[in-house]
Amino acid sequence: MTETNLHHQIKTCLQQVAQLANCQLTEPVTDDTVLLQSGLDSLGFAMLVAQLDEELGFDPFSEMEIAIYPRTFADFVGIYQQYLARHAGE
Amino acid sequence: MNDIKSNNRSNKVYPRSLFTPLQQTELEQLWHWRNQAAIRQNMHNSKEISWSEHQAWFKQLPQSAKVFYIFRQNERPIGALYFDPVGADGLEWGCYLGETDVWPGSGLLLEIAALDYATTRPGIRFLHAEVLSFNQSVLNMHRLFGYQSCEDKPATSDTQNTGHSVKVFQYKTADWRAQRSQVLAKLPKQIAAAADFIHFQD
Repeated sequence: MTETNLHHQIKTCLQQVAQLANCQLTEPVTDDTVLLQSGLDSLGFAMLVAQLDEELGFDPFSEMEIAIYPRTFADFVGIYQQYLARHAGE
Repeated sequence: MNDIKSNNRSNKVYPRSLFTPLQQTELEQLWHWRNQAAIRQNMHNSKEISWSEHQAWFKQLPQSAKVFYIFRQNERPIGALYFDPVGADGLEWGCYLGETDVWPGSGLLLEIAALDYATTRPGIRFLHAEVLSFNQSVLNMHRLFGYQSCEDKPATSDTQNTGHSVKVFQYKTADWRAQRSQVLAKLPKQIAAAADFIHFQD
């Protein structure tokens, strides 16, 4: 999977979860969007991580030996890119 | 960056949520958090608080019945959780996340922590919550957890909140004791796992 594909997959998943969680996203969500100000609530973020775990087969936040949590959407995608590379190497 | 190796469960790691009483050394950080626009807009009093007002508030805190905790995620302070007595057997609670780079789902951990805290306090029979009517994410969360709706209250005279009401909720601690497992089972599985690592320090 390319970085572009992953970015797209995460954004699509975020939009789907926002609908499911009845959250109104600030439009448009860009790389600079601060996650806590994106309109997705805490339950929505937890659902997003769980859904991506289903789709990608890993939850980077439960694999972190050193906790670095994302502030922006780009940070969030970057964490998944980093862990996708690790899982691809397994 | 925080070392969280010790929090390992079945090869998964979850954040440690430790709630510690507010200290003088944390006062300035708390003041910056509390004055953020995103936090103020959801408060009964949405006006900016001056440093002198904040210091005066902290000075009288030991004489009040309010209990104020700092939410530490893997030792890092990220938010606040506080309780005020309601009558002889209730607690009203409030919270906020002051930092924006937090574990996804941290708001749910605050919700669980508040209910766990109230349920373990001797003599406390219910938790009381008030939410401004436009704060949809918190309203959704309270309903998901099974809070009982009470009669709405008018918002304060604060100009920013004109036209909105205050939604009032209660949760009987006996109900949380009985329903906790079922409520956590409805949440994404990593939330229930992280709930095992919530602790209060008195």
